[in-house]
Amino acid sequence: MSAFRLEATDLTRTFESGSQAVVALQSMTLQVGAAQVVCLVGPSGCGKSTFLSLAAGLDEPTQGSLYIDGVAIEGPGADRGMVFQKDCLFPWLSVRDNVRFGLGLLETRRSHGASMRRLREHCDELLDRVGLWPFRDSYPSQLSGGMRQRAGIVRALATRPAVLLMDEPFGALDAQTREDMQILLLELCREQATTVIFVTHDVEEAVFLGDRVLVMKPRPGRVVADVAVNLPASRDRHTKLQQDFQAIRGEVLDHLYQVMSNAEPSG
Amino acid sequence: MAAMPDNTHSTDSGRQRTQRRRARLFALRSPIPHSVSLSVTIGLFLSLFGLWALASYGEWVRPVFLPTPTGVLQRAVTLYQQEILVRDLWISNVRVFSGFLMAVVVAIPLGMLAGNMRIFSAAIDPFMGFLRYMPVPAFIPLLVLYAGIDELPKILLIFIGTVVQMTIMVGDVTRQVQADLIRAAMVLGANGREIFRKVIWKGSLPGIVDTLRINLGFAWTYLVVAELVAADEGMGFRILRSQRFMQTDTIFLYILLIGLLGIIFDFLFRRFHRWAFPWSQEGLRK
Repeated sequence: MSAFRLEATDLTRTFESGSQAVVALQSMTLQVGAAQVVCLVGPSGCGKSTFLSLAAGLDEPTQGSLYIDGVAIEGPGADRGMVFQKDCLFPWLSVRDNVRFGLGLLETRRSHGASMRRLREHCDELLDRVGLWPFRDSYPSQLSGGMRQRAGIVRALATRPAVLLMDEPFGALDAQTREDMQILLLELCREQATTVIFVTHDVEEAVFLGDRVLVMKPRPGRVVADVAVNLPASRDRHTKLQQDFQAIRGEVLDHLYQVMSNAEPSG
Repeated sequence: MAAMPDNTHSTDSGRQRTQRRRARLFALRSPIPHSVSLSVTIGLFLSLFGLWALASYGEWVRPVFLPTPTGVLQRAVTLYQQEILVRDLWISNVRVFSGFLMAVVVAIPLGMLAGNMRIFSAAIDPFMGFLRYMPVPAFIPLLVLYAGIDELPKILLIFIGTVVQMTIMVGDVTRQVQADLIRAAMVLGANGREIFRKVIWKGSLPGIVDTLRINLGFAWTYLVVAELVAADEGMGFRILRSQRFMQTDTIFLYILLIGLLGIIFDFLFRRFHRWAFPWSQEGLRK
């Protein structure tokens, strides 16, 4: 039995485009412990989104496997939640119904009333926790971008997933909202002991959120560096100003520049 | 320039300000005052009516070609008293709505399937493209042959006239439900049926209702053609028969009534849309 929450072994995904095979992800091996936050950074085409799709069960690997607590992933499941770049809330549902969408699906499959009630209360608590309780009956179109993304996170956490997959969720937000969201995310995930895989373009964000930052390179997509972020677990605005933080950010950037300069000539 | 705040022009003369306000009414995709919008709408109707009144009362045109507004009104009263008007309105509405509803029942499932499953789109889309160019009135002889001369061929003609366009439009609407939303539902654990029911159907409903509104208009345009088939009552029939007796006032009356019905149904559809889908009030088609 695996001791890891999320484990990838020799994970490979190739796409056929015409006569050519594009290796989106090559032999990725990764072990992530419970409640760990792992950030993936790298240029376009490095396979970070491919990895998320595989972990979400939206796509199948060409080779290798992915496990959650030692069980191979076969399709999407309630043990994983996902937050997208666009909030992807259902516009015809109120905030509260959006957040409960996953629960509603679970309810039709199994009949465990007691734990369902508990999960529904959990949803309301989360809404309150992120300040959306007064807006529970609003439609997504009536909310700001930051509020929509908060609702998206709550929706993903509603079924108490072990792993939260995030695909550049804060990319479209303004700087201030973005920082608020980063701090909120860290707090929520610590409270729920959620493991997070976080894809981003922003190195500062990756170092701020991550316990580890994986740097990836394209063609073929693979991990070239695994940088440990040795900062205290509780982080706030001041963390980004610390020397340690800047040193780690510099290290990640060095890896990234190296990836970029190697990637360029081969075109 | 329209975006500049007004206080920077505080020294401008009143005339310049009027000019600028006038220019703003023609700015691309910018809102205009509600009062202006309403007066343009009403103004057009009134000036057309005025033109008609002038031309008919002033006898610019011979009455047999252009009846007067009062003449049309008198005809309406006469036909009402003869119990023809209400009967014609009723039977034509029954025909239009029967054909339209038949088309709805066929087009919504077909469109939903064509829009979301490739195997159905492979069957339905090219076939509809094939049917689309066929002239609907050309089906009349076949319809009479197959369905006789009662109500059925008339209803079928309206059905044929609307079902093809409606299927194509419903297919397009359901295709516009974002793939991102479908992906989000998948990750939340929805299976194919649940995605179809809870995401695609819910997400395309406003567009479908809007499609129905537009297609009801098409259904009415086929009414006159439908009532070519051995009718002895109905609005289309009355229009055709009035031509033989040179009753231009009746023709005017019925054409205007059909237009009026159109405005009313359109209004009701829009009202329903706003009431049923408060979350989706952008990008409505005209």
